[in-house]
Amino acid sequence: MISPFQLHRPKTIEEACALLAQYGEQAKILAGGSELILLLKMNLAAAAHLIDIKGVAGMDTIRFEPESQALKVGGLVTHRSLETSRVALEHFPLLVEMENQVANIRVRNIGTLGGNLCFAEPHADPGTLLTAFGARIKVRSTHGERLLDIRDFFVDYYQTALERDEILTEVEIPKLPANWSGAYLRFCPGERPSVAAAILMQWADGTCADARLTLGCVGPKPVRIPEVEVALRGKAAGEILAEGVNIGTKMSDACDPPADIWGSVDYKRQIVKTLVSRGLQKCVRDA
Amino acid sequence: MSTTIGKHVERFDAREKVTGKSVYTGDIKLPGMLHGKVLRSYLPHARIRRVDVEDAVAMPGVVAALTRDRLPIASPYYGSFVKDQPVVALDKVHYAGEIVAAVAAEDEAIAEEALKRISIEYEELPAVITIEDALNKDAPLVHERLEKKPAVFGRGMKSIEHDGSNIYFHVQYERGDVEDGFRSADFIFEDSFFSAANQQYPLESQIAIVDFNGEDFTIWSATQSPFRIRDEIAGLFKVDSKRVRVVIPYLGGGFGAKSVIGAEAVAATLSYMSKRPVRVAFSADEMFKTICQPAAKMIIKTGVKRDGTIVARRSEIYLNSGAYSNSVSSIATKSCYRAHGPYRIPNVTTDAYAIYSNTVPAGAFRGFGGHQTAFAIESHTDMLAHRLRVDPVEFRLKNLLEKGEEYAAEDTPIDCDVKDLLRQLSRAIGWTPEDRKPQQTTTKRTKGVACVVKDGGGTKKEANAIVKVQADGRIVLICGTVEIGQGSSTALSQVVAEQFSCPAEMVEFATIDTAYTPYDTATNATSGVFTMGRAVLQAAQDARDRMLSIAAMALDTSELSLENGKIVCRGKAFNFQEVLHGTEIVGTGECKFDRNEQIPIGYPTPFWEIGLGAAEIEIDEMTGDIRILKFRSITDVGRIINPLHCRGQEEGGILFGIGQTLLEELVYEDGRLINPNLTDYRLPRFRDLPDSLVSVIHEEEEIVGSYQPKGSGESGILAVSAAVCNAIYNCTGIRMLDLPVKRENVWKAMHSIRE
Amino acid sequence: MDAVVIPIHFRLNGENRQAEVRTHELLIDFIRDRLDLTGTKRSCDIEICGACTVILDGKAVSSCSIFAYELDGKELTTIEGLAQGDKLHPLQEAFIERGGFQCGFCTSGMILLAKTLLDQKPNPTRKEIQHYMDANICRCTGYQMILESIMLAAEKMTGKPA
Repeated sequence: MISPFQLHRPKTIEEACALLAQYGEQAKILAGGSELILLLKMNLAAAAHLIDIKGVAGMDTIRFEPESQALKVGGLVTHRSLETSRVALEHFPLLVEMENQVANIRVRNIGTLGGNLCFAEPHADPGTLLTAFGARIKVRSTHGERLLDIRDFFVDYYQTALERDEILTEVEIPKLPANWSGAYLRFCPGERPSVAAAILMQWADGTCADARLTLGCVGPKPVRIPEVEVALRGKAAGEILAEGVNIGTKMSDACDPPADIWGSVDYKRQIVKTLVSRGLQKCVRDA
Repeated sequence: MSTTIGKHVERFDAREKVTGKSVYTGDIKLPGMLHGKVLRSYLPHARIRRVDVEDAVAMPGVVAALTRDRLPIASPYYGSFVKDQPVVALDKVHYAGEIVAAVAAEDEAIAEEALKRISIEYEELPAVITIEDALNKDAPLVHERLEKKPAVFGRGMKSIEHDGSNIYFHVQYERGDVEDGFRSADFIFEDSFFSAANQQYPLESQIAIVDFNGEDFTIWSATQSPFRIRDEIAGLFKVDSKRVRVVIPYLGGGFGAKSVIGAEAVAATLSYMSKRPVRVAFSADEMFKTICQPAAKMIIKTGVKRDGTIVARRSEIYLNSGAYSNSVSSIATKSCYRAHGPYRIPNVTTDAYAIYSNTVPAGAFRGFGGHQTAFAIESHTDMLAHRLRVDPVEFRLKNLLEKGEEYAAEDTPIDCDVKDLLRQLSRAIGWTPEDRKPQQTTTKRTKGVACVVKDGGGTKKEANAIVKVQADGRIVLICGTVEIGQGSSTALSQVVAEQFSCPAEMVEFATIDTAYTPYDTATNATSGVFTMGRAVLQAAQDARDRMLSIAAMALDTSELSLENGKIVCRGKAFNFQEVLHGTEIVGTGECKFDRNEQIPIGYPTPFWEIGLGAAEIEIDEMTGDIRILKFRSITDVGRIINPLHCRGQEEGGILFGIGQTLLEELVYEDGRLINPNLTDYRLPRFRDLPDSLVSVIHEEEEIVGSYQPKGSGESGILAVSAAVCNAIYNCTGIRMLDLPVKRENVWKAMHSIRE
Repeated sequence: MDAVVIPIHFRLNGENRQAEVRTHELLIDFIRDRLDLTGTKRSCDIEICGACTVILDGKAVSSCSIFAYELDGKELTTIEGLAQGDKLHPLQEAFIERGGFQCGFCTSGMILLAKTLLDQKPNPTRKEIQHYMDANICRCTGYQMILESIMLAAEKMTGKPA
């Protein structure tokens, strides 16, 4: 059962940051609660103070900023809002496709993108795709704002680069220029994805000009495999299709998935190989 | 022309359940009710050196604390076959999750906090987890010798004692001479199969409220066995059973998880100590640690002739009973009896063993071992056919028992034309002889069939029923079949309504209360509609006949008929109350089975539960993922009482089968369950529904006696695993011998064949 | 500084209500124990099974994992709020007609989840229903009869066959 706590409901981000600075270790940030409330119920976390930031102004919008050509998603945007957002669909259909698969509709209705990223659960979807997108994470404290590359944001299992007194306010997703095709695939035998792959490929005259291959759920955080990305540059679509399985093998060899009840290390590698080769096929098809 | 039998009648509990008004045990609040919480061992096998609850008891709001040192019961053991399970651990804990202490407090939060203040000192002991561990020559004993009920069988079946072993029950069935049979065979094949322990997972976990007022116990419980609970609690406290009253609200599912003591013993003891009502509700996590289905290993050795005739079969079945016996000795008995399947085999020897281990106690699970033996038998049957290069369907048709043929000496003959159903099934799935050849293309789609028959209706089940016609004309059915979701209240009421030629809505199903409900063994074994149905039929006929006698006298004629809920005489229609003039009618009925020493189990099989299934599957070669594209099932229910119920039971059972085959497995590490929750224990969901699922409910015309309906509570699950595994073989040439079938194992097997 | 007890104003099944809740009180406990509406059920307690599903501001949510104070300023629909007196909601009628329930423990959550689907998409295809409803677990029915119940309800509500 959850122990009583002091509840704070700040109306502005400044107020929220001030509260977090004031209560430090004793406080936890509550957004949707789909992870935190479970931890509190199971006594895996405790908080004398809960700072409910859902009332904070300006953190629940999705907008595309033409000047920066970036989609700006407020930290409090729910998975469901993102999933059904016309703006997101127009600029990032793959993002919408991914969000549609997160957990289940009940969790998507209240779970937030910010909360999901801050929890840094390795078996989660958004982080993998956002890493492929090269997203940036804006965080704020009483000392000011920082913008982190998502690759620096994720540190380890359930650990991010957030300082004790920082709150994630926004996720920035830079739009990919034209001629990109992408795929997000996941292997989910249980409740949470066991393996995930996000692939983005830029094409020029039927040849791969650039590629971003990210694996998720196979380690403490999503990981890009630069050697493979570099090797794909300059390859023709047909070549990539023919070598799909080999590329998948290279990706699976480059990662170190942990064994668990959903599979041995070898099997997880096989899944990586499969998702990558299928993802490449889709990218070539959609080019 | 039936009035309600075979018709869709709105379920009695329908409006209540869709509006949230149906009352389950957890919805009941009693004044002054305390909340009980339980502390569980994290070690699988350990001596308890010290239990200290002083800090817990000192907390304000804590009213009672139960430990081995604070136990107001002289002999605190319960159990159906062996009284081996204590209310709270005494000198040892026998599995990780066993109850070591309990508290009752004014609210849940205090109770939970109190548990944190209990300290226990353990001395760890070596534990045995698997069947192999437990049977090892040097295996530590889970229990020292305990007093058992004598197991009495009939001809051909006997129990064999083992001393100094974790085998606490061994039953053997023999007919003919199996060695002779093997000598006469042209080929002998032996295969070994394993199915993992599963969790029944009814959505409602075990829960009980007990109110001890200083003299009597009143128990509200989500139990499938009201009278067994009454007798166990009475036994624990050494009081007459009339001092224990069990009242049954609606159950949120059972599937066997609620067949024996769950939360009742702890709740009763806490109430006894505090003299206040106590509610003990197990969480889902606790339910995983209370009961499961036994993991089962089955070895089948069959001798066949060149022409495909089966001549001999020797089987061995090993059941992992977990830390306590529960009903696994019965599962062993039934598994033993089911091992030769619905085939004509003159020479059979089967040995079934129930084995203790330091794991969650096993017990009844939908299928009661039948689905586990079915996996082995029907996989093995296909394997025999393939080795003989015979079509698996043809091979079965050659050896299947005919309608009217004996399953075992003196027992009820097979009551349906299984061969005809198998032919129907193969047509339904589109089976052709080509279907048994491995596919050449890369999209791997193939079919598999399985044909299962198991004894249905329970053994020596006793059912009693009362039908009252009250002075106000209302008909009330009083019987102990628990509404666990299967629709029994409605179906049995339809049986009554049929006798009175009245709409089913005129019949009321009384709340089950052991104070006045006549004795019923329990709700299990697909016995509701058949066994209790007969008692109900008899009671309804009795009440109807009595009412018609009174009517005859009142109306001065014997030319009466019943139509549409009224008594019709000389063109005039009378309501029942008009004719009764303030009298009440009570009709009684029973269904009991006489012992017959010639029958192996000692009692006749009430009916044969039929489960045929065929699957068309597709395998993803790169991941080993199996998708069931089409599933067709056929069951025979004798006579349909309520079509929607039959289909619901069958399809629900099929999804259980899909869980058993592809998804569900209890996993242990270091002697404890690592997946006692839905995050890591994978139940079937909407996404697991086959693309096309059709269940055919067959009605065989005449069966045993004049009362026709059988039952199908467990038929759906029976054929799924073998049908799917046979399809996997037909596609890949790979035989899956373990359940659940893991994608990884499919992939590995296909991968190694490729190399 | 907020107190440990919070006053809330909300709409419950169409009626204005107010209450005082403790900060750590969960919505499911508030509904079952304080509002005495026991139609909402607790099963897995970890947001997976959906037995505890209620509708909050039009969205299906897991009441086992939301705080009661979140009700403030919002509209809550529980299963008890679906029928209008004796008149059942078409979903409730359809579940009865097509056998969409057996033990009933998942039913409240299942019906409410289905309502949120039909409110957003009045004529979903069978595949769409299957994908959306995959959120909730039933152990009794085998799911097919639930799908058929929802399709019938859609037909009843829109007059168009599924």
